[in-house]
Amino acid sequence: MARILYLADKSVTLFHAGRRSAGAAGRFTLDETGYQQLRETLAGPDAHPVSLLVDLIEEEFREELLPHAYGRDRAKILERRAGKLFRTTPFRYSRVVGRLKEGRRDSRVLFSALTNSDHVEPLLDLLNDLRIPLAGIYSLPLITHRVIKYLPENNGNILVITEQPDGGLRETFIRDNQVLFSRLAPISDSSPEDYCRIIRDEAHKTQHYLNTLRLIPYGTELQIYMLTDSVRADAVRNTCVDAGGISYHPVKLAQMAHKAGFRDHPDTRLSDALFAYLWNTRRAPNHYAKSQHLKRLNTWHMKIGLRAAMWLALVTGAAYSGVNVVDGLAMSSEARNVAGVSAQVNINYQQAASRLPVKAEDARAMREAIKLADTLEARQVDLDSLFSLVGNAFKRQSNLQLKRFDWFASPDKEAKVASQQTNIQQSDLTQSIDHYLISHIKGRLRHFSGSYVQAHEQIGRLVAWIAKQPGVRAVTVTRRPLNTQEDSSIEGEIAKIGGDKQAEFELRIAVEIDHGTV
Amino acid sequence: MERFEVDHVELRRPALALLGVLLVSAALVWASDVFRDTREHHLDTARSDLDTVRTDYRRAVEADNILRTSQQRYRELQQRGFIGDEPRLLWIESMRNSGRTNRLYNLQYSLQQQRPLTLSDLDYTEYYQLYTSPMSVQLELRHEVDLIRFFAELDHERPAIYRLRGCTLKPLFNTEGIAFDKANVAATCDISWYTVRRRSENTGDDSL
Repeated sequence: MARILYLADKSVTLFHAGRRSAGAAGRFTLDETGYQQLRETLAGPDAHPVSLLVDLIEEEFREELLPHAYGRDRAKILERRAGKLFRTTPFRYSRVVGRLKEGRRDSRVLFSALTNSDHVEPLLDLLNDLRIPLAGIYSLPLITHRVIKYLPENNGNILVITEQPDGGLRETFIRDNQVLFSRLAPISDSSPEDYCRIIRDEAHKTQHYLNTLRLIPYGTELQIYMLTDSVRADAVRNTCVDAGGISYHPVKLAQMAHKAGFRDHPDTRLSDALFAYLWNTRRAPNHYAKSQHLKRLNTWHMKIGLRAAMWLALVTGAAYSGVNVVDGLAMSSEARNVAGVSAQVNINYQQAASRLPVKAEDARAMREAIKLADTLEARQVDLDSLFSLVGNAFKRQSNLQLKRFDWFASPDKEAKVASQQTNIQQSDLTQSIDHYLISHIKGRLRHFSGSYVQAHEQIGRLVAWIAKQPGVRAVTVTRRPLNTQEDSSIEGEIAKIGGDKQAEFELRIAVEIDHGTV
Repeated sequence: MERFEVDHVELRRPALALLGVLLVSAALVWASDVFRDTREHHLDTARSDLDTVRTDYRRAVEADNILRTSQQRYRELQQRGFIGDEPRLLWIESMRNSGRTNRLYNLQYSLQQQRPLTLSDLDYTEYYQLYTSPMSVQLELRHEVDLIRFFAELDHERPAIYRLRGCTLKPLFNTEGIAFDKANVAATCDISWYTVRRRSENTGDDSL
């Protein structure tokens, strides 16, 4: 519940405003007795801020045109201008309410001030004595536009008339949802019979005043909405006649309060409770309180922030520590279980180790030595098969004779020389397991007629047969009786044709080891 | 623009309280972290111990299996001289026996110095270093089949592990053809003899 001090000319009322209502907790006169009673009412453990809603006759409104500016410049201009307009009071407020559409396009600024601070300062002192933070000083006229949306019509030039405590008739001029002017007229009595007359008189005065201030042009119609009780609303409806550019629209205060969400608003002519409620529905920015007045509020907020941070730190620290402790205890428990399993496995290990004639490491070494031996003994050269292959090949070509037979084992099918010979100079050799036998064969024709064609055909048949044998991966003729390769040149002498007795050739054969052939 | 003013004296107490709570919370967090870390370390140590003893146990079981399946083969390799120092005398004696059995006309050999060898087909060997000793053998044969018989006999002797790396065969006869009472084929062959020796950093005896 928000606490609101509603300050009128002769009294101050303490309202407790909630989401659905606002009720007066006490009304106090503005004298020593009233202040003492208020002090006693406010004194207590509740240190929540109190807002001051001001509804005083000594509140002035002025609309001025000022050069348009932004940010800090505008704030300085407004502050300086407010200071000039209202020199005697610190309670000043200004707000840009519009902008001209022509000329320099100046800003229209509404200035207001509490020109007499005699009513306000004793209350501020009282709150300060009680160490109660002041949430702000708010102008009731400046929040009156909040009733607009609950009126039947809310366009045009609207004058909202409400009756306040201490015999005041508040007239607030609103256009385009902006409060532009307000005045509080003292009235001695507002009996239903006289109510229309009072309203009519005050409306004419205000209309004249607004004309003078050029807030409304002459002849423009002024819509007057009177928020009052049922009796007076009916009286106005029956007796007040629209005339002279003024039209009257009585509004039953209780009905409008109900529309605004205020539950069980009494059928009364005084609207102070409604404004206290409307102020609480949506907080307005502070109007008149200065930084020194808000110091205790700022401190209060800071205290709350510090306490929140303290609790957050405490809860976070406790939660984090708690999680750590729970984790740690769970880990301890798991460590005990693991140690138990470890002890059991260790017993098994000791038993298994005691049965071993050697250390486990020696057994693994034994396996490694066997693996090395198995690797070396695998893929051994089968000389019988190799010799059978070459022997059978030459047996089929009886005119071809073997002169020299070289072979070596190699991991590479394309190797030219034995791999070990290439690394012989190195102190630490690296060797791959041999997968191929590379054979170099030198041969010749036993009887050469001089026909190279026949010689090449015989060699070709030898090569063709070898190439078909299982395990043979490549057979190439590295030298022919007559080199007929296109990338070489040939020299000879026709007269010696038939004279050559030698026709030699060379072969290279690559055979896969362990294929079944060798 | 209104200034933002606060009463610093009034804020002192809640600020000190916040500071105190922050210190207490920090101490709690630190202490609980230490507690948790200690317990985590104990758990890690226990897990590590369990892993170690499990590994030892698994190795003991594995060693038992190895001994049951491979002990005989290992002893055979030891007897053949594959494990330990090179049995060069055994090699040469085996070759002499094979040559004599096959009635070779000539047998000359040249054994070079031993060298450490790494087989690229195998992963890293942890316990044994492989060594090789290249040998060149010159033989004079009546027929090339004698070469096959020579190496078959050598295999039968099982004097350690060797690989025949290559040979060169040349006929010794000329145009008049082969003779039955003398060498007709000259062969030069390259052999690699292999042995393994326990690495020095691994303790242990080669004998089981």
